[in-house]
Amino acid sequence: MKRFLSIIAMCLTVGALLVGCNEDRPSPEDAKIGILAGLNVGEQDAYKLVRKNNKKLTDYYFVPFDDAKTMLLSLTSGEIDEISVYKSVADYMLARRPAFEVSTAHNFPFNLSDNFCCAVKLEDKELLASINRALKSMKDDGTLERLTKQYITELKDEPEAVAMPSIEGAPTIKVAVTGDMPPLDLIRADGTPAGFNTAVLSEIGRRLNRNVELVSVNSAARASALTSGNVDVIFWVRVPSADDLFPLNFDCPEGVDISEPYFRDSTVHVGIKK
Amino acid sequence: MSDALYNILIKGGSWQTILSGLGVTVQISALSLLFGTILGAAVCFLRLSDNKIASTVARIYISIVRGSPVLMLLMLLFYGVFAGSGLKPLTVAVVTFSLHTAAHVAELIRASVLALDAGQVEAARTLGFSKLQAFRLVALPQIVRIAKPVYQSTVVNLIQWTSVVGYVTITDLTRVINNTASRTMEPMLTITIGMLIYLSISYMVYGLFALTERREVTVDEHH
Repeated sequence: MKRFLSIIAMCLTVGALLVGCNEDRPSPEDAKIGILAGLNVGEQDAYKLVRKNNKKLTDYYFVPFDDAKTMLLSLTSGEIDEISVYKSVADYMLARRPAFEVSTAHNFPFNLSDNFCCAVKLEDKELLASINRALKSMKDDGTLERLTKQYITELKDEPEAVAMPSIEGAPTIKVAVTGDMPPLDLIRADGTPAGFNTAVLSEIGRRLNRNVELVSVNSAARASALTSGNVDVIFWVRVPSADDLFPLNFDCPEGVDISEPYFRDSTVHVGIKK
Repeated sequence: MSDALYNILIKGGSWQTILSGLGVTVQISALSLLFGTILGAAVCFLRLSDNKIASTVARIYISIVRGSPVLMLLMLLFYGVFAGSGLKPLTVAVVTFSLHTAAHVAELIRASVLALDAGQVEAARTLGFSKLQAFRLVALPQIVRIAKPVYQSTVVNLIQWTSVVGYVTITDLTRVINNTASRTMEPMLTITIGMLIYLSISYMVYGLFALTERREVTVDEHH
């Protein structure tokens, strides 16, 4: 009898763990929205934070993905209703996939936008200060605006390959690229990294008189690549300080510091054309 | 569909990039298989030895490595143990997959040795064969024959395991496929093409093993 009861208790415990006493499960009416996964913050943390700050988001269920292409796969298969992506990525996507469109069916009841920054190791204060100086000068002399037009707003087809600075005797900055976020970060057909982020880093390298070496790595491993010293700089997304939905740097890993933003982009929803 | 295939496979020299990624996958797989098999044989020898310490060390090594997901082992070695060592990512990847393959090879050789009829080796020794002759002429051919099917699976699994090297800054076939899927925004078609390429490699491995079996049958018939 004792053994029978202990087996029943074990089954109930396992069942409770598997099913979950979690309130964050979708009901049939919830809109399932694909979002890019945070590297440091679990999806349940982000979900609870958003729900806590804005009760209007109770009808959404967020499904995290590592990159835009996996979100697209899930959208096509019908697993999710819409995907939440940056406008620049959505424009790139829709130019290549006419079956999709910007959707307003399940829009968030507020405007969301993110800042794109560079991230370095916490102890690389000199490099961070140099990057911030370079970015300020690029903003002041209009270079950032020119690059934004060339690689994002007026982009026709695939971006041209970016020429990396090659300065004899100069130190080299290693930059991680993922290829997962076109037109910001992509790998061209010939295997060379390209895109807006790469162009910005190339210009930063020129202004700092440093060579730039691009290192291709999976998106989920870029924080590890930085903190282990395999790369010096990675690209990072930071929530604007004016946005009261999330605390500043809520997705920033330990041991990492973030530059001033070089680009800001709003978020739109993409769905399948009806 | 034809436009999508053109963008994925031809435009901008995409096929060359895919071939380059395939080359990296084959290179890592071949080197890891070679070193992993040699190391696996050595680990098996220790595992089966009468020396309790050697046998225990081998057993611990096999259970830890076989019980660990290869991606975690790879990231632990690249971003932890060998971080700052100056070793190239490809070298760390080959070390990781060699260690992983060795654990599997050690166990499959051990299983093959245990399946062997000990009486045959004893009979060979009784007939005057030295220990080495008995092993080389009697035991080894049978061990190879018993181990072959499982070894074939290990080779195919190894090729598939290497698909995680993108996490350690190596651009292999899987990474190229992922990059292409992101660039073209045609993930389903691109991934299907990638899968077909991996399947082709696997079937080439099956074909090679089938060829060796046919050669053995021909040699046996001639004798």
